[in-house]
Order: sequence, then structure tokens, then C-alpha cells
Amino acid sequence: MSEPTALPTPPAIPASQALPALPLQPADVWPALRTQLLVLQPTPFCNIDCSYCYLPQRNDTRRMAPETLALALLHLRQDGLLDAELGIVWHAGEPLVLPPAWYAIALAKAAAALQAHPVRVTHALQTNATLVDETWCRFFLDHGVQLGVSIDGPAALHDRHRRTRRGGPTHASVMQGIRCLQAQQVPFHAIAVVTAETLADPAAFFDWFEAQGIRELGCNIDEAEGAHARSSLQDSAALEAAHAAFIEEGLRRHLAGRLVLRELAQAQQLLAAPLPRWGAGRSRWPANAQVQPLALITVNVNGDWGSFSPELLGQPWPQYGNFVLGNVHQGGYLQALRGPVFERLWAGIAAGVQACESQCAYFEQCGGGAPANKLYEHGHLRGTETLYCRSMLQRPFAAVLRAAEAALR
Amino acid sequence: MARTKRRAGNAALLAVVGAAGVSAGAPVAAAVAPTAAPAVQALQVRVQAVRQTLAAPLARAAEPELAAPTLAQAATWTNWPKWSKWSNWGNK
Repeated sequence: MSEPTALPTPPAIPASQALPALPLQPADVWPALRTQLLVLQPTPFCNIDCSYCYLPQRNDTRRMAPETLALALLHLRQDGLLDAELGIVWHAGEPLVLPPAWYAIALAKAAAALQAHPVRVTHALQTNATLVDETWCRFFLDHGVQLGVSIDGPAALHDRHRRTRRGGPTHASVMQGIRCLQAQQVPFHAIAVVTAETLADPAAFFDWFEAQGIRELGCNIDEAEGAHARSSLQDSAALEAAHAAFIEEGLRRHLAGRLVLRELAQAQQLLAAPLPRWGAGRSRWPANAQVQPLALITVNVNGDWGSFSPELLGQPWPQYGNFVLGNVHQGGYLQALRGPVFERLWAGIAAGVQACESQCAYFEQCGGGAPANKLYEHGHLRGTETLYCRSMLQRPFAAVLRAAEAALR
Repeated sequence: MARTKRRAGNAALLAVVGAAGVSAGAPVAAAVAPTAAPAVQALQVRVQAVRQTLAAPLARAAEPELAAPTLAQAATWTNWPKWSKWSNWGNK
């Protein structure tokens, strides 16, 4: 029998020495700086008006110019940030308010900009599905676009928060789009925002998705972020206990193969194998794209860009310059690493990761949390555990670990 | 009898963990840093115990009945949209 292979033991570094030095030098980052995901905002506009949306400027109907898209990709190439694969997500507004013809040109431009580099690009799109029709379905299939549909479950839950601009319900329109996707055999997964109301009856929530033939589901919690200042789940021990019951109900269905729940699938992966390591300076941390400089880059409609948690870009926070690190029309990504906004941001995020490392039992499965949630829950980036940590990572992981241990007995 | 029981236990464990990302000889765990806080160490010791049990049968090609469900379950995760591991930010 082969012995299990253990990873090399990282050198023990006193906590006080682990913080990376400023300014961050690309050569200090290991492995080399690479962008894993590019989030592009084709338009800030959204055709509906969800009560928990964090995005500002949802009335803004501007469209991303072709040269902005080309520059966003060109700088990735010129700065050496491309790896073998790149995910591009069209998001941060309702992407389908722009027509398929716009995306056909955009995807062709993206391919042309990256032609000289052997990178496999995957396009993904998160939509409210109210505008999905057969033309869109053909487009998704023709271009292999990975699709996520935002729907919160049965109409009574969904329509509480996901309203039209005139305050009307949207569930029927979303379901019409979903039926179209299903009829045209377009693969998609669903993302639901879990609010306090969802937790009142987890079985009914999961039953509904099963009955609709929606098999893959991600359950985002209602987070306090940006324009949405307070979560319905905030500061309530009873609701956190209810969320634990929600996870247990989901795990039963997940393990029975009735649903594939994203958080539990991730927990299974985290239990099966350790996260890869990355580091800046002498630190060596489990990989977490939300805290790794330039691993996630978000470019908004006018070319302003940011890194780390995508939802930070454009949010008012004077200390961090609204989280804008640069503009693709004015230069590349690497040059921003020497800028004052990046330095302040990175200093805070790195300190927050270090705090997680020293305090959190789940650090090996997480790598330092989500900066956006730290900021909006704690008021600064140097904090540790958030509602997001407990709900999206800790509880799913603990539930899967307990189930695995029960199987061992 | 003991072997049969052990096999059944391993299969049950695979069913829970889903064998996601696990293959024979895969890394089991990052070593628990001796400087880590007690709560950190306690959780990671539990994690390592599961991984070691999980990795052991997978490393034995002589037990194909255990390898088969592993491959089938791994296929499920490869179908999961790769980008979704970053898609859980924000209220959408």
C-alpha cells in the first residue's frame, strides 16, 4: 500500500514577520502573479430592482466600448498575467439588456485580443433570466457560455425582494426564461439569495428547486454590502442556528444525489485535498483569489478596474479611492501595484489574512475570507470572521466533515 | 470480516466526501503548523484523519470496486462550472 503523500511543511514564520513588505514587487509573489478571473461590466444598467442589490448606478445605461474590452485583455497579456486558462464573467448589471449581437462582437474581440497567447477562455454570465428567449439560447449554445440564473426559489420568496422597477413581481418572467433554457437544453445552474424568510422552511425551498428540474444550486446569503447596508441575517443567533439546519437539510439532498449544492461541493473538495499555497514575501497561505493581488480583476463600463473582492469596485470608500486601482485606458495592471490606493488596500487585506491565520480554525480551508465582507461587517479589512465566513464556508465544511467522520465510525 | 467492514466504511466515506480531487497518491494534507492555535490544530487533525483514510484505499489499485465509484463521482465535479467557485460573492 502506498503511503499518503504529505505536502512539504512550510517553515514556521513568526506572525510578526509574515506580513509582506510594501511596495509589493511582482517578483515577491509566488507562484507568479496570474489573473484567474476577469469580471467585465458590459453595462451598469439592470432591468429589475432587487431590494438587496449592492450595485450602485443601476440606472446607468452606458455600454462598455469595444476598445475598453480590448485594452482590458491586452494589458493582461502585456503584463504577463495570463495563465493557461482565463474565466471571463459578464456581470455587475443585468448583462442581457445588451443584445446577443453586442456579445457576438465582444467575444470575437476578446478572442482576437488573446489570439497570440495560448489561453483557454471560458465566458460565463450571471443573469436574472427575464430576457432569455430562443435567440439567447442559441447564442449560449453556439458560444459555450456558462450560465447562472438568479432565482430565490418559489414565487413567495423570490418576489419579496426581486421586484420590477415599478415594484411588481418578477418570478413569472424568470420562470419563463428558465423554461426556455430547459426547452432548448441550455445547461445552467441557479444562484439563490438566502434571506431570513428562506430559513423558515428549508425543505420547501429545496423541494421547489428539485420540482423545477434545477439540479445545480448555489446559495448566497443575504450580505450587507455596498448599497445594501444591512443583511436580514445579521446579528441573530436564532437565524444562524436556522442556517445550520438549512445546511443539514441541503446536505441530506446533496449526498442523496437529489441536488448538487455548490457550497457542499466546495466543502467536499476542501475536505478531500488541501488548497494550493501562494505567498507574498515570506508568507505562505492557502489560495484564496479574493485576497491574492490581481487574481481577480474587475473592469467597469468605463475601464476603471479593481482587484480582490469584485463587489468592491466603485463603492464609495474615500480611504481606498472607491477601490479603483487604475483605468485600462491609462495603463496596465502591474503599474498600479506601486500606487497609494493599492498599497493601503493590500496592507489592510494582508493584515486581515494574517489575523485569520492566527485565529481561525478554518484558515487552511479558506485562506483569509472575503475582504468585502470584512469591510462591510467590521468597518475595516483587518478583521477576521464574518457572517459570510460562517455561512458560506464554515457551516458547509463542518457539516461535510461530521458526515465523513460518521461514515468512518 | 474486518476487511469487508473496512471496505464498506471506505465506500461510505467516499460517498460523503465525493472523492473530489482525490486520486491515488494525492497530497493528503498540509502539515498542521505547530505554531497554530489549538482550535486550528484540532480541526485540521480531524481533516487529516479523514484524508488519510480516504487516500489509503484509493492508492490500492487492487481494490477496483472502490476505485469505480470514485471516478464516477469525480466526473460530477468536473461538470460543475469552473468559474462558480468565485461566483459566491454578493447578492445577485
